[in-house]
Amino acid sequence: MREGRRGSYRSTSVPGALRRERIAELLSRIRQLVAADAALLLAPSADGRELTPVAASGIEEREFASARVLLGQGLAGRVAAARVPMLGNDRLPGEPAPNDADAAGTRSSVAVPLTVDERLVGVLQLVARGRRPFSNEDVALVQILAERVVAAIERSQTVEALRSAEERLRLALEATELGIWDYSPVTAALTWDARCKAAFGLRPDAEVSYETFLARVHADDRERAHRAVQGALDPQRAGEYESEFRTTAGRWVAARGRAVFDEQGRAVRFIGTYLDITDHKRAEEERDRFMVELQQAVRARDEFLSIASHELRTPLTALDLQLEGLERLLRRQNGSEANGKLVHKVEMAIRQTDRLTTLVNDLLDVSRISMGRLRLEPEPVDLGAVVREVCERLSDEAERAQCPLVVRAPEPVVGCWDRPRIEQVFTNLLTNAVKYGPGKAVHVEVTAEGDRAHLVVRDEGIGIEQEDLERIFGRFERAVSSRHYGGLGLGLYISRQIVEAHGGIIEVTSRPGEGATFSVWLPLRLPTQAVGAAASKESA
Amino acid sequence: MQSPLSGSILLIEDDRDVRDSMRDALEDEGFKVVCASDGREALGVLRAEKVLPRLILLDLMMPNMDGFEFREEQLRHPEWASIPVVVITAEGRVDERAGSVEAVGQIVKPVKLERLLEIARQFASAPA
Repeated sequence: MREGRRGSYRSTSVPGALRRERIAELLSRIRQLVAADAALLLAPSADGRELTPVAASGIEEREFASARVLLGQGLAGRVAAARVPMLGNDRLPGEPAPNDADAAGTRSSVAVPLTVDERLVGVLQLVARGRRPFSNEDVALVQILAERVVAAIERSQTVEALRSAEERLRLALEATELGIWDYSPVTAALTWDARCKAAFGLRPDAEVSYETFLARVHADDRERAHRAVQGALDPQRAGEYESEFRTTAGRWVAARGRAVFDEQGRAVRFIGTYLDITDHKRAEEERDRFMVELQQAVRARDEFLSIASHELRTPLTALDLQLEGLERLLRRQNGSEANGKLVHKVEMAIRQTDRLTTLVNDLLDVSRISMGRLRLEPEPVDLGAVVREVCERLSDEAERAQCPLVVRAPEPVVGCWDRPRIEQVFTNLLTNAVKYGPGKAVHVEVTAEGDRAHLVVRDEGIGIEQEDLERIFGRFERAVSSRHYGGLGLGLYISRQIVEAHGGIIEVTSRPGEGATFSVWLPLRLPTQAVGAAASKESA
Repeated sequence: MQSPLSGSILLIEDDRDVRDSMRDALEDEGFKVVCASDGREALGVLRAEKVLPRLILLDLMMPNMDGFEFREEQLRHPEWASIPVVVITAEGRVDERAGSVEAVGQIVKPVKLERLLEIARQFASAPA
């Protein structure tokens, strides 16, 4: 789909992306700059064997519309084949033979190729009559302008990835919104077209000089803008000019150009374009501001999570100690029936405070992870022993859900891990298996595989849809609705962070209705940088 | 005459409910507990008594004088310096701040009764 769109776009020749009349206007401005009588833009046909006219200036449409130029024939055809600018005295394709023999004698013609990534996208040909022939300098100027046009178009194509056709069209149109300027370092004469003047807040008939330019560049950018010009006129450099600045009219301008030097290395002409990029800059600033706000919001959220989970611990401490104290007192008394009921109720209450504690801990873990403060304290741990202990601890819960736990951990698998964190991962996986597969067996297996431990937790529950498989390891994600299954949706996210902090991998395979299999691989030795160090991808 | 601090535990915690719950839990098991709601009050308790507690349970985040400042003052005093300190933290298991005050151990909030009694048995005198 994406490829198809790209393909169809690519097959469009350069001018296809632009509106004909705007190109004609652009051609007219280029024509005036080099004092040409007519200009014609040709584009290669789909098979690349001929050129067809696209737009023209200074010549009637009916004259050129049906013209065809075979590659290698005529000035434009030769330029298309050789891909280098050429001078000649050819007529424009389709241009009628002149009645006036004198004019034919003084006709001068120049054609330059337009290429993108070494692909020919067009040929621009200009004709002047009854004047001095085009010079090499004129060729250079036409070429610079042609390059600018193509660069703008190319930009519109390379930002294809920038999604919308609308965006591409906008960028393509920018090519025709270029203001053209021309400066003679020898005479200090500066020419701006109406678009240049508009960007600087000047009327179309305003007189301009280099001083006008400097005075109308925003004070904060003036020095930099001046240095950029000086740099381009320095014969030691390539003469390339690229500068962005604000004008006193409140516009952002992107300037591009090139200086032309004579044989003595003197800059004789400096020509280029201005593009008003104010909208673009404002969008950029808007986006930057949005990013800062977003980051602040994320930070505020993490700080809130941290404070909230700390604050919740205080009443939980008092509540849990009171309940545990109460349970102790009740157990010390002799077991009447009423007493037995009380013990049961208190046990239930304690189990609920434990659940609250787990939720609060999860919130704190999330804020730790996103602030890059998940720390590991590794020690030698037998994964088999961890699995058996956790299964024992959760046996009541599994029983209530009627999930037989089938554990296969034939031999000790000892690695260097953060024990409570590994317990947390397995507790999570086992709790999920019981939660999503009630009434079905849960299979747990621990094996050593070379220098890694492999833990498998397999349930026979509701399973996970294909498109949810990766998502479930994300923060606050769950594959099923929170209405039917409780929890904050943080368990697998935290588990993955813990496993990855250990240099391990956690994976899931599942099909809807066929249960889920979670696999954890842990290297027996921790990667050194994980020890006691912040282990978080998010902190980067 | 026996001082109230003989073989006792000094509990420094700003939240009254947490403080009372911990004191209740320890007293139910026969420990003597003296309470302070911040570092300054705790220093007053230590100054007032001749016989020192066996163990200090210290919350770190408190108003007026926090756990860090209290610990500095405690270490400056030759007779108090050797009393073991166990930090009560809401930061979770690995709180490097507990290390920075040279605590012999830490209890993580929410405090489980078994853990609290284990610490008390380890450092304070066995209840009669």
